[in-house]
Amino acid sequence: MEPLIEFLKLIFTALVYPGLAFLTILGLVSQWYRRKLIARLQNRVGPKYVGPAGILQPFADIYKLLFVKELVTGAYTPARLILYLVILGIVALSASTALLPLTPLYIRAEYDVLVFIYLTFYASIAMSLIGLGSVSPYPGFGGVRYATMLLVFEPVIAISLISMVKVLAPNTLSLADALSNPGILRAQQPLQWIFHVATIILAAISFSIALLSKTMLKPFDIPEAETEIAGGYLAELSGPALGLSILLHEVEISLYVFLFANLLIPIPPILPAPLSIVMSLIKYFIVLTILVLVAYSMGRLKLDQALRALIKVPLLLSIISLALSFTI
Amino acid sequence: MDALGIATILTTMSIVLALILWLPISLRTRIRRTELYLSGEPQSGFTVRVTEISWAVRRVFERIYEILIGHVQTGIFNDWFALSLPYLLILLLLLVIVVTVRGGV
Repeated sequence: MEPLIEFLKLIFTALVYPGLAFLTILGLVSQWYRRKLIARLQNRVGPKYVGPAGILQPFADIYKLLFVKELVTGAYTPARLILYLVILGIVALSASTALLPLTPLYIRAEYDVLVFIYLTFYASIAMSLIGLGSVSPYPGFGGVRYATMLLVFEPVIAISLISMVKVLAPNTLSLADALSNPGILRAQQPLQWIFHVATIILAAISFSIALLSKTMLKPFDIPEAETEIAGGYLAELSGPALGLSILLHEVEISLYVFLFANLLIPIPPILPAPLSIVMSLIKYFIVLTILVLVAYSMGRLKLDQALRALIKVPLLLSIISLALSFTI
Repeated sequence: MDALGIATILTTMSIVLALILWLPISLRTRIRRTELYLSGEPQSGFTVRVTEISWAVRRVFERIYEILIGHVQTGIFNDWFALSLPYLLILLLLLVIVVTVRGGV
């Protein structure tokens, strides 16, 4: 009986809180916030009509797409397979939230940061396969562009995440320990503390640049470049496949920014208590605001410029931060 | 539970849950196929060049790529072997060091 109850709790964690339902709501509210912020930057109003201040607009968009009964797609696109890949990406992201200490049901183990990196990689693979698997030129270009950038941003994200967790949970490399009991507070000497902060800052710079490219925000929105390749990897999708692809994108942004905000500002730590979760959400919106304001003040890069930029700054910084985190 | 166990459980759970969520959506969705979207151009005579998928990586790593092409893609096995020999020797050296220092792998 005990293992069954544990398993049901795990399913609740993955599907409801802090998994699928929570991430969906957070992702769509963040999309509304992001769209409002970008609209203000561009002297527009942004979402306005659905719900107070247009907050329900992203929900309405996704609802409308999910319940369309006919999926119009390209002649050779394996639409049902793509639908499964997208759902797998969303569920894998939701399952990875079981490693975050947001409820008493969270799971922890030594080196579980590697499990998180592994599970979230499904989403990146799904994104590039949506494009490559659509068997059509524009999605093909989008998929190729994403897959090419993936070769650089995934290692950067992995390396900088490991360095941040190594500083915050030096003995266990556990994500839950890094978030709930950050080791930076226990640094004995001032020099050690300075090294810790320097490592976190270097890792944070590299992580944030790689995050912009992973989540296809400007200046790395190359795979979907609407004016060039007609929406790129999404060009041949419609109905539920398009709705779920947009949802995958939003869920990925919200999960990564949530984690990043709480690793970057480890005080107060995340605990499974309402006040602590509110604090972590405040950190999330602060970091999201900064990321969006920086990102959308730039124009889109070309693919080789983006690759060079990713290799020159974030890759180098992440390797330095990893070396620092393992030497101190 | 160790990290490998957690990874196995969460992966299995993700695959099964995704299948359960996919089934109803897939069953109630009808698929209508249209011509490829080519900005209004006709589909006939169009092909996607799969060989070009790595052009950006090639452009960034152009020098390394050209060296590799020059040495490896000559059609002669010995060229490939000569190029990889130094790396194999380094690996062999590392193996000898590990075996000597640790007394086993």
